[in-house]
Amino acid sequence: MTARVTPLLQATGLEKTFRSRGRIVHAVADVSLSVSPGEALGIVGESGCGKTTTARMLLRLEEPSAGRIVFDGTDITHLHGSALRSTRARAQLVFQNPFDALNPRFSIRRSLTEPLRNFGVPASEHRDRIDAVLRRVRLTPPEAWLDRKPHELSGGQLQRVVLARALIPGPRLIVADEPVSMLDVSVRAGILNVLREARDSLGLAAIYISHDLALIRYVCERTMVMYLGRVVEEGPTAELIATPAHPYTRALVAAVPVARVDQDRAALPIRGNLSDTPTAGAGCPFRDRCPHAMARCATETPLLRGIAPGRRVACHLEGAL
Amino acid sequence: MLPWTRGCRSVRSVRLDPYATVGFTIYTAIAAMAVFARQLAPYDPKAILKVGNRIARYLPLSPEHWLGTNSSGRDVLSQLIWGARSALEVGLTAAFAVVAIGTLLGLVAGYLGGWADRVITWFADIVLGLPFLPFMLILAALTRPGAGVVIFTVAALLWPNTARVIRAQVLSLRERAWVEAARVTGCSTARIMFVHLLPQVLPLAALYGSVAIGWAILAEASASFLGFGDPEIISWGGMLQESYANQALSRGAWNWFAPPGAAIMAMVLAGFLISRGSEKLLFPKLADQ
Amino acid sequence: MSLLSIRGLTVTYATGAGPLRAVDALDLEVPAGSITGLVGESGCGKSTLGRALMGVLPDRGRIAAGQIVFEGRDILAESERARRALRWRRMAFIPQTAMNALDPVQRLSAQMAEVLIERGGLGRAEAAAQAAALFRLVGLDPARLSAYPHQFSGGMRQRASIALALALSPSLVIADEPVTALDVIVQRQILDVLRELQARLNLAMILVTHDMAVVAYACDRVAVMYAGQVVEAGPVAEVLERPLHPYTMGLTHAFPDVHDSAMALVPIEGSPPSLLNPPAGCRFAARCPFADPRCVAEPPPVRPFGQDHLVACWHAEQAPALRVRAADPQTWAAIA
Repeated sequence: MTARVTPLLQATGLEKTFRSRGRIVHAVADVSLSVSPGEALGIVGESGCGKTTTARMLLRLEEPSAGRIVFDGTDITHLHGSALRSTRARAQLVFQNPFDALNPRFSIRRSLTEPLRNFGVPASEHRDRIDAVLRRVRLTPPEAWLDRKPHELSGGQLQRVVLARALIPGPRLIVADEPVSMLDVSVRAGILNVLREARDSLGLAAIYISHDLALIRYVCERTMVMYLGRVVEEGPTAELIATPAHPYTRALVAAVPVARVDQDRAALPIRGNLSDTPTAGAGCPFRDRCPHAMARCATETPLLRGIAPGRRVACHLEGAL
Repeated sequence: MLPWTRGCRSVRSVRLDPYATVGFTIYTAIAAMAVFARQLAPYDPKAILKVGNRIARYLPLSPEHWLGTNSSGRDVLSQLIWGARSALEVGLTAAFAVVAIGTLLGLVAGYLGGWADRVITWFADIVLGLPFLPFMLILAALTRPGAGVVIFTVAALLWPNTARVIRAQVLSLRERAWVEAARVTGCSTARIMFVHLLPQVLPLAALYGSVAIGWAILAEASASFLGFGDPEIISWGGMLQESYANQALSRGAWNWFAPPGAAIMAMVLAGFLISRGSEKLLFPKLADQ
Repeated sequence: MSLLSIRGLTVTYATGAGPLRAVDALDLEVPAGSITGLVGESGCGKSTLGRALMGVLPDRGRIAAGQIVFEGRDILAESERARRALRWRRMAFIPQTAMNALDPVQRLSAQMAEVLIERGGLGRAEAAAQAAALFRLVGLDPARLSAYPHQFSGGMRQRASIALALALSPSLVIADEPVTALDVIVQRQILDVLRELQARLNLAMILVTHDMAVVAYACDRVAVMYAGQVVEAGPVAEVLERPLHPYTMGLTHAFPDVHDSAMALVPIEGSPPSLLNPPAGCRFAARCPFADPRCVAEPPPVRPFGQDHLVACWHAEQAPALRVRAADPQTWAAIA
């Protein structure tokens, strides 16, 4: 039974356009999403699909050209200054590059104290909170790490500090943009497990941005697939991967290699290359590459429609695939 | 606490470089001269000395007067030593002002962008077009000649170069993930500029400051030489002006004008050497090429 | 008969703190007509190995010891001139980012012509025809030869650098992380191009990567590297399904499978040892859940196991039991 829970984050009709070389580029077009408390949503797509821009808009690191974002009951779409800052305590970001995400001159202690200070946590609580969060990310004993500087730490350790910094203000939502892509394979599992545990024990909601479908599968219950600025499919991760409804999702799933010799090496159901500029105007953005493209696809932009409980797809194919 | 410790470490590593070491040595020597002027100078620089009943004019080099005396019987060495004091006062004050103004404006323009950047850049461009000496001389004529005019002119006219460079550095730092992280973790704009970014740009600002010291001293000497300096104060520029007015060159009294000229040159050179030596600290990749 | 036989190769980098042994007494056999994957994490020496083979090490690197026997010739014993003649003609290199291979200010036609004419001795007309043929081979439209590299997408640029590498029909192609920087669909397309080319031209290929899945998809054989050495090598199916070395066992459980969310991920805590001062015994001992005092004291030699499977581990005999334990994250957590 699925109860209707008030979403923690609800974004409707997000758009981001900017001018590039005299042309208008729609980096994000008509993206709507919602995340319930404690839920993990994955946003997956290839470069240029707009997933990072979307995430940045959700955290108001960029201002949407159009659309509305409601976070924890507050409309944050056009907030600025101290009003925006006060919402920041509840939504934090985990960065992609651990080597660049910390001020190189600040000790770990200082980097972790900054958010506490900014959000008005009394100084008497700082020590305990820092200790607690370092333990949570498995950097123990905490004292051994506090006075170190970023250049003394490895990538995996740095990412744990970045995670600690994101968790320390006690947020309700974490947005992680490619949290492990720059780490060695053997180190990734450690970070992912810490993320999963933090979610389970703290009831955090999370949005994971990645081009890696395998990673999304491991950490997210629901996934949204983006292509050239638009959402093309959305649904429970396992279902979406097992029975993709959109031709792009199907190609994406088929393209992911697995660590088994016995895997599918058939030709991908996709044509051509990612075009440099999004197909402007009406029509499905995927039509140039879709093996099932019809005449209708060039003239009418498909809208997201429900095809099963919790599953939506933006495609003109009847009953999708 | 932190900016200072980092600064000290940079100073230490800069000292290891030969160019910077020479520069710092010169600065230290002249600073010592200025601070211990009373102890070092053999005579009162303004005292008119006598040999017997006659005023000791144009005495040659001797053990009593290492640099001889000038046309009014004053000991040149003592004047040189005391002159260091006014040179440093003017130089350091002006340099500090240039660094402060330039860093602040560069930080604001670089980080805030938009209209603040446009206004500051426009203003800097205009200031860069103002000629130094005429500005200073007009100001001296309108107010009162002296160190104040020099300091004000240097501060008012030399900040754009510092501001430009700081602005460029801030523009690149602004894109770094940790600056964005500061925003996400709730830092106000002011805090990001002054707590996060300022320590990063201070080394570069200090570098421009050291060059500004040389400029200020040169400016002061020029003003004094042209007769716009404060006549009550002993300064290197004043010495040059006096020696010129008394035709020291045709008399061959090089001991009068050469030392102050050399001292001015040394200060300017020191500023340049320190900036050259700091290059390795601030732009390490260039060193590999 | 191996096309390429590496014996006891040691490559060092000069650093302020002394020589860093990026590759240490490494042995490797690369048979003709196969794709051999070289897999490992950052700092294991896989890229260094590829560059050492091609002779394109950075200034501070040098080959300190060892033998490289290529097509029957010991190339390290030959002159620099002879080695240079080998480059691009018999052995070619595809770097990680195509922009490292392609000149941004020259049209692709000019770059292809440069290789074909200067190094290959072809005439202009022949070179043009060959360039078109090469483009078609990698799936690019020959009409785009007149473009500049920046006008291509990432995947297309990578195809162009593959075409450039194949220009003089080498018998060995070394691809250094050729798909790491690419999106997953393009990655798959490039891997398919490489596989097809290898089959059609009967090339030998060395594919350097950190991704086991890429190895499983594209390679016939694999050598697993750790801290400058090969710790396990053999046919891909063997090594992936029946790994003998704990590091390989850990790696195969370290990253999620897109079709299986029930997988328990195994974190391999710690970091590789310093290559300035490598440990006396097995280099993986500090991170290995099965290490015993012998592992710490004595470095295990590379020994053959079964038909075509090499491993450097004192406990290779107990591999079947260890595999079961290695699949459990608790085994690895106990080390931390």
